[in-house]
Amino acid sequence: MKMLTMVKDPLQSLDMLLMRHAARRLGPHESLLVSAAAALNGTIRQRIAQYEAHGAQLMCEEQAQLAAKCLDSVMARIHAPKDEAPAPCADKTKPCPPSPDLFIPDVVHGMISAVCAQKQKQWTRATHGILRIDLNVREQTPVQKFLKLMKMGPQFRTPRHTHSGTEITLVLHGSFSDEFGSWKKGDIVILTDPRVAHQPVAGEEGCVCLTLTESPLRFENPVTRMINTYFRV
Amino acid sequence: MLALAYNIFEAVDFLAISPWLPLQKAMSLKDTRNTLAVANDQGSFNDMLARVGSARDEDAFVRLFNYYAPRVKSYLLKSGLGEAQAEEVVQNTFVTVWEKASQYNPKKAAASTWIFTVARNKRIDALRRDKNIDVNSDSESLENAVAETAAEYADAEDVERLTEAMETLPPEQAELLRMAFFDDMTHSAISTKTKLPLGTVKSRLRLAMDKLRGMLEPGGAS
Repeated sequence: MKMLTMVKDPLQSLDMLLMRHAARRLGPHESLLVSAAAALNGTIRQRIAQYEAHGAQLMCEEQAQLAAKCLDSVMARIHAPKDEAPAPCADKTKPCPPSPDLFIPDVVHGMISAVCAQKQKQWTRATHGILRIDLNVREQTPVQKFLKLMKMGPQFRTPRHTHSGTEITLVLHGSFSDEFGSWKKGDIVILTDPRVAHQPVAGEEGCVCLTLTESPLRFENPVTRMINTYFRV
Repeated sequence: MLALAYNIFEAVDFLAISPWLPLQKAMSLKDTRNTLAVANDQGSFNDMLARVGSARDEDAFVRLFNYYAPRVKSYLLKSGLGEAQAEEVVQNTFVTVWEKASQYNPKKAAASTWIFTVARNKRIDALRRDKNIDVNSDSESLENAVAETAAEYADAEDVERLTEAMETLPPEQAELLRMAFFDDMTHSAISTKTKLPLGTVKSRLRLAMDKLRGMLEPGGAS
């Protein structure tokens, strides 16, 4: 496992993202992406658990006065007869299994189904050699975010592309490599503003990624990017 | 260790942005003792929560309530809920603690971590109801759906390592974590609070983050 860091904006760094996830302060898009990363990447999982535990310690430091009847109300509620609670968690309707050509792990597919509105997921052509599925997260956030699945064929060389704002990429299947290393399933990559040239090339199995951007990708101009954070399993 | 932390900290000069950052608190010996005391109690709280789950032990539940409810409420108030809403979320949290205690596994998480996770999810449910976002039931809410799925993957071994790491939490990390949990996370909000220029806020945060990263690198702090 390796991390390469040239932090430009500390609030956009992976650790801050994971801390905010632990604090349940992320919007639905980031929350989905970090949860998916945690499901695939033991190191991220462990770090989130660490931040959750530390966070609980922080929250234990201070107390506030409760209303006089707080405990009584709680006890009354737990003693109240149940109004035929339909056991919510036990039989969650399983999402349809992902079709094989999606190449996304079941656990991630389940999360996407829980969060995204569309039922049908079909690849559409983004640009030559790249397929994509735009995911519509049900709950809108003030800042517009674009969440999508991207798929590149074996050995495909991505055109250079521009985008402003942060781009977070989670590898779901296969691998890609660039000037900074080779990234495989479970690896997460955070990029910010243009500085450093970077041209991902898909591995032998091709590559499927979950990608979050703050602006639509534009596959036109050769533009460079600052590599902010790479995170490898 | 503490002295070392102080030195790093002075080098970063992070204190200068902190009329709003209770740093001294995170670093004082007195507080370290309190944290240790909590850590020692933690084992018995874990047992109590497990008994609530397995034996529906009301005494244990009341003791957990008496310890954690005022702390949960403090967190809710600090995170921006009003008095009445905080009170309601405290109640919802502990009703859920009672109902779901059988799912608690002391091998996977400390009682405090588990209870505060419930509280954070209840807080989100309350905020979502405020915004009239369509939620069919609590368990279907977004964060719950993804968080529960992710929680299934928690490793038992994490807990031991966490307890060890707890006592050596570097002040920068404590502070960033505090920001993540309690504060609005935008540069401009920090800039307004600290009355410092935006550029200064960014560069100081970057320094703190670099230090933090050094400590968290594999083979480093863990």
